[in-house]
Amino acid sequence: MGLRQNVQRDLVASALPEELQAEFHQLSAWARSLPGRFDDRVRVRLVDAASIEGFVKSLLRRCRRYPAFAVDGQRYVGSDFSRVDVLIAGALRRKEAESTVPPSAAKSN
Amino acid sequence: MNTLLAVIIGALTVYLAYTLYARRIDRRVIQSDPKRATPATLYMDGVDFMPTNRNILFGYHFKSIAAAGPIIGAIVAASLWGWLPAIIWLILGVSFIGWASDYSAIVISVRNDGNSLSAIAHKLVSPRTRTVLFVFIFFYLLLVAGAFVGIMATVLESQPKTQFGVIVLTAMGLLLGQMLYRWRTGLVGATVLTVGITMLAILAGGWSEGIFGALNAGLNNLTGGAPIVTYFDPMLAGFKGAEAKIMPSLLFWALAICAFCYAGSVLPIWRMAQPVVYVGFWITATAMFLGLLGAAVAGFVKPEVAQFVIPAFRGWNPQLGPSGIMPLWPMLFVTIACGAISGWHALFGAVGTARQIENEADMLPVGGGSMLTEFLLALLALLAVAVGAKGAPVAAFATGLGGFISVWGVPIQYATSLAFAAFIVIVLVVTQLLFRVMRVTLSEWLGDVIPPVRNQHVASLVSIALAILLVLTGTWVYLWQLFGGANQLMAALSLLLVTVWLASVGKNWLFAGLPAIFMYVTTIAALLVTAYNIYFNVYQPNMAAGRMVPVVGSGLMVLVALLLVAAAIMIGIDGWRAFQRYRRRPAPAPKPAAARA
Repeated sequence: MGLRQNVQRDLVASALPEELQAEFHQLSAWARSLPGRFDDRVRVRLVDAASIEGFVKSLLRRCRRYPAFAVDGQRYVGSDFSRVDVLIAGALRRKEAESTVPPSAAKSN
Repeated sequence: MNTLLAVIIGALTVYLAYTLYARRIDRRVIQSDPKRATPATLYMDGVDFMPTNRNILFGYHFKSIAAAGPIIGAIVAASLWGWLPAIIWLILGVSFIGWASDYSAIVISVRNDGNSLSAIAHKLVSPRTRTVLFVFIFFYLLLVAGAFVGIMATVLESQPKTQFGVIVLTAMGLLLGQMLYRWRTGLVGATVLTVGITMLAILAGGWSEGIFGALNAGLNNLTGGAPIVTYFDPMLAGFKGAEAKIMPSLLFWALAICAFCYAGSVLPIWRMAQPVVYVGFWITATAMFLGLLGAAVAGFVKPEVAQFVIPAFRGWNPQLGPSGIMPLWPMLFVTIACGAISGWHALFGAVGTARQIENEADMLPVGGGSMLTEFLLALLALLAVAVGAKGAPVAAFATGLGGFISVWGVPIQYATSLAFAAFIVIVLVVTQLLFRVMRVTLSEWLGDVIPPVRNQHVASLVSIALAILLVLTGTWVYLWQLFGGANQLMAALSLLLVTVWLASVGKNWLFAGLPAIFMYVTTIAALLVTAYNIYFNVYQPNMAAGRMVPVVGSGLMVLVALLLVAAAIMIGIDGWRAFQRYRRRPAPAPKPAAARA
């Protein structure tokens, strides 16, 4: 009946102000491009900042601005995704050097 | 009976139902396969279909299903039949029916490409079933909205000390939205500020009581103390029924709630609905966490708040009004809804959670586990009212929960204020989202026939006007039972659909089929009893007295009850035919499950 889709569309359309929505789309596009560039060595976990989990992560990682990225223990706050790419590449190099360990994790608040 | 014993019984129920029954069904009947690809992994689109970690999904699902139902149902049932029938139904209902309904609704969707119940009904049963379900859902939402607005308006009007906290909660929600999404403030600081101020306002409610009491009195003086609506209320005079009045102050607070919901419905989510829910979560979580732990240890620390003081059993058919009947069967089973079994859970599980299941092994902990957790919430509400027993049902709940919270050293007046606020916040945050869904539903349903309802303001105002009309009948208890009947009927229809599906794939259908039959018969009987009660206890006395608002409202309620019964009978007949068809000749075997990458 399309009800679910309409409710979902309504919620998604009004979930964020326009500029944040544009920023979110850029972030999504970047996150989707990761497997193409780093294969399956990168695992992404997206955390909504305005949620209970977001609160806990912000508290533990001392984030005051968003988007915030945590790549294998290293932090970056901002929208320059090329800098996150550099962090990921560095983390992967370190992992390779340390031989076989679990895949690195990239997280965004 | 004391609270510690009840908490132990509750914990044992959860453990036994999950390990001895639910897991067995999951392994032997459903045969959940962690290697089978789920719709979330097959059709991932980042919005609707999204594989999600089981712990996060559990929290998301629980937050979506746990609203006012488990709390209010237990309160009303305990006040009508006593705490013993209520606790027995909670335990048996969740153990044999509730978890099975929630879990199987997710299973059927996951095994059918993430389709909704109506789409599966279209495929498995008949095309008309889908249309009937659609109409059913709108009236179901209307009943929930009417019941929730009614109880909130009554609490706000009768408890002036709660009003300041709710106003500040709204203001802080708006402020939080501005801080997070416009000023881009850090979440931790914004949370501390907004939640802290809201909490202080709630605790300071006692100091503002005089001001809001004077506001109520001033509003009532506008009509010279005359009521807006006079109606017959079967709950008064020791359930014998008496004349009751809706004063301007109650209408004012009902309209204030509707204004809040209207804003929640038409403003962007980020501006109001989401931040208000976020701030409200901290208030309710604090109250519930302190309350549940307090109930467990109260017997040792503060025995006077740990003993049950209401009667264990009040009778099989307590009198409710001069002509009303309230037989334990079927009415108890629709009065206590969400804590034992709920159609909303199935509806939401099938269209929301099922599309985020990452692994079939997660279906039971997320679906069944959430239902069992909600049972604990209902148990807490029952304990609170069983030990509280002062005043009206909601006041008894707040007194009881306040007593549990006071175990931790919080002064009782502050603890009770927090409990009242927690109750209102739980209902309020759900109601604002409810009107948003109603608005979209109405627009989708009637938009082609009546183009103006495509406008979000028109659709919202129509939904609100219908809900207010139900509130003005004054017969809240029947409205609640009508909602309970629709809700439980939705669960029965979901179980019926699961039964048809199990038969179609040649699996043992008894774990869903037997509860489906019980709930189907029980809820249809309950809807008929409710229609009878409304007609003889509300419609007729008000008609005789020439009171048009309660007459129109109660007439609408009788009509909705009969409409729901007719819809259920049509779905039942179609379902039975489909079931017989599949039993004679099961559907062709499905394609082998795609392997997970």
